[in-house]
Amino acid sequence: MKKKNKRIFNLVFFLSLLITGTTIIFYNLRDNIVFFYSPTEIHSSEFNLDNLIRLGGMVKEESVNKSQIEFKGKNVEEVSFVVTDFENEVKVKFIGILPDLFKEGQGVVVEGRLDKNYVFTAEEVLAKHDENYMPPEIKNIESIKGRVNDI
Amino acid sequence: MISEFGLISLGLVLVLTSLSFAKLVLSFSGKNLSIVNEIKSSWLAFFLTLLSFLCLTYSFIISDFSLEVIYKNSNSQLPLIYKITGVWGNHEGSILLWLLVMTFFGFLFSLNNIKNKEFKELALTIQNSLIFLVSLFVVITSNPFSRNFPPRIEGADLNPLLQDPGLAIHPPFLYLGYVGFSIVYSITLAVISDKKNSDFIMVLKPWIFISWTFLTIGIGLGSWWAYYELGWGGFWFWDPVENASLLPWLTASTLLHTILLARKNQLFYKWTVFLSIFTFILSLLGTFLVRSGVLVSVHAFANDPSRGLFILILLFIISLFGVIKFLSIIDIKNSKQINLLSREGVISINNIFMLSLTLTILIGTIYPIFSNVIFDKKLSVGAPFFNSILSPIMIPFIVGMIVGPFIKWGRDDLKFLISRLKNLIFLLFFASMFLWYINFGGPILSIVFFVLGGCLILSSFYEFFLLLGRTTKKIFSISNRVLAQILAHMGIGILVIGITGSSILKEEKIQFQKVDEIIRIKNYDVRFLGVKNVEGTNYISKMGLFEISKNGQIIKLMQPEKRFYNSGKQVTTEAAINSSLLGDLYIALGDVNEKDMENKQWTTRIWYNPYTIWIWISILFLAAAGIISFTNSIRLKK
Repeated sequence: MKKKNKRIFNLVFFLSLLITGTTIIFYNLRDNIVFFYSPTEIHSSEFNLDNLIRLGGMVKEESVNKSQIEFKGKNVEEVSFVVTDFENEVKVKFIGILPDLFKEGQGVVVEGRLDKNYVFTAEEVLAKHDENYMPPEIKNIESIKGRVNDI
Repeated sequence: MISEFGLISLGLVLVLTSLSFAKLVLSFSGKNLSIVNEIKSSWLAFFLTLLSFLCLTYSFIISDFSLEVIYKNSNSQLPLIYKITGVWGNHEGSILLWLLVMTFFGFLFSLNNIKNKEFKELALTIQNSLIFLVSLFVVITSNPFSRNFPPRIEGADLNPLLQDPGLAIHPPFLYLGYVGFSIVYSITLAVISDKKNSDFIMVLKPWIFISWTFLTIGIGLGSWWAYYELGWGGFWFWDPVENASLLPWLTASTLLHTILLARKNQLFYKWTVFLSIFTFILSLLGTFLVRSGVLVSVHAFANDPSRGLFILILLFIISLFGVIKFLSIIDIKNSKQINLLSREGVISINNIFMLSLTLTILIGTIYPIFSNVIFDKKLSVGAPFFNSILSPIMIPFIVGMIVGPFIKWGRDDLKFLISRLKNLIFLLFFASMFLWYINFGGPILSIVFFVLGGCLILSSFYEFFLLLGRTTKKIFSISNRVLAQILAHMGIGILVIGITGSSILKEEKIQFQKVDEIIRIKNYDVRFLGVKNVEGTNYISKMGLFEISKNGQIIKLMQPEKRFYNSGKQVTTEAAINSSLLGDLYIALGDVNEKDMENKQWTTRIWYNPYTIWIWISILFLAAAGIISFTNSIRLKK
């Protein structure tokens, strides 16, 4: 092979490798991104119920309830609470241990799936390390701005 | 009084280094400002920053709550050790620590005996300019000495999660790693600018090795802390803050390989320059992600977005300078051809893999920012993305690590290579069969990675014994460089096994556990004995008692806790972990519920995490490899 041809071959080879790589990355990215919704957005947008989504807002005061249920043949505790942005609300159910800083009247982000009755089943309640920390996504919900002192 | 002293010192650092910055800027237009003695500047900058840092530490120790930072992050009841570590347990103090480390590296470099005076001067000018930018950031946005009014009598307390030895030493190590790359950046840029660069590689080497070692230990400590302190049963969550520390580590690890060849080969010289600059840029990006709070992170603390903008501007200036300098040495025609089947070839392929790995994680980490700014869509990228991309990349990567060290420099022949490695191939074949057999029936991914990790460890041992057989003298005659390589590769093999076990084969049970009820996990029986109240120095704890038995014999009493701190309202979970070489039994207590206490039952979460301990052992291997390389590079220089 001539030197020039070889160089062109190398270039084509690496470019195709790069393109394949980027395609794989973005294809995977598309399948694995988790969109964030506020309670108002949940009620106003349409989405696939199979997809994992995040919901964020404030935990409504006096909305936390704990009850014992049977789950996969075991006796477990189910926690339910209401996430609000002061305009709309979504009921959330969760089986597991709540993070230490989970509290009524504070911001929360949950990850899970919505059912057709607009009840959210959380697979994870996102923890935080600092009681004053407010995730940026909640901070930017219009109806929450200005209603909560510390943000 | 003391705190004013600290602030004045900080101001002096700013004024002092502004001269170096002016000198650097003027040098672009060909002017020369020779009044500044960079060596003395870097000494002074270090001692003044140290003084300022000590003033802050002293104020923390005497609990001077008239300082806003101390009021918010300390308390008179706090044990002394956490009063001291509280200095960097907050934004302002930790940025001051960052500055201190930066001046420290400048100081150390100025002590170096380098023949080329102009080059040394230039490197220090760049380092001092970086110090100027960071101290400007401290003074304008994050002054740790700002007073509150009216003065407070008692402080709010240090976040209880930070009252832990693991996290107390994590930031200094991480910063020594992150910021160590600032001197690497300065030296590299000085080399590009200085035409008659003599032997920059020898100057650069020790800084890369030591920074990499600190970064490795820093990440290891952070991960270890997350594992035992958070009570989530895991050690890595693909959180933006975690990824931010992994990115410079990956490019720095690539740098460890290219630096070996940078003297002989132009292509690797350019790689080295590029990676040196890129690693420091990624360190800054990490600081930006952690400190600005633009991304939702499970590890974020309360923060202020205006600081983010400032760091972004710093990041922009420093990257721009680096990129412009780098482009000036790019020259496509003049590079030597490299034979793919040679050690140089494998290292090139390794570079490409490492860089793709870095870019993949980078894209996954910052994609949410772009999507928010450009498409106005709020989203996050979950762990499945990283796992699904990394697993296929890791397979050929580990195979490369197994074969790579046996390939000859310059040019190798496939047939000759295979005949040379006959024994190893047999050995690995039987080992794979054995590993496959004992993991039979498990998830396919875990079998693949156990086999790969096992083979990597075994091939490293083989390499070691091969060298031992070849030398007439004893172990000591094996070159340190090769020894470090063997240890590092072995460490990665161990890490792969630890990660595979503790992620793919993890077992988890969560339930209401009544007193005396026994939960069986793996081959352990976990019996719940009840909960008692225990009083600590500044907290009250509910301590669960669990009796662990194996094959009918009681082996241990485990005591996970829920701690309620007196001063704040915060609660922490202290998991109980029973480690063994085969796996960890990990128990965390659920939150307290009055009703449950009457019924004598409690939510408990029990994990069995196989081979987790090997993750921490692998960090020791990697750190040892780093230290050996470091001492070796210092010895060679002399």
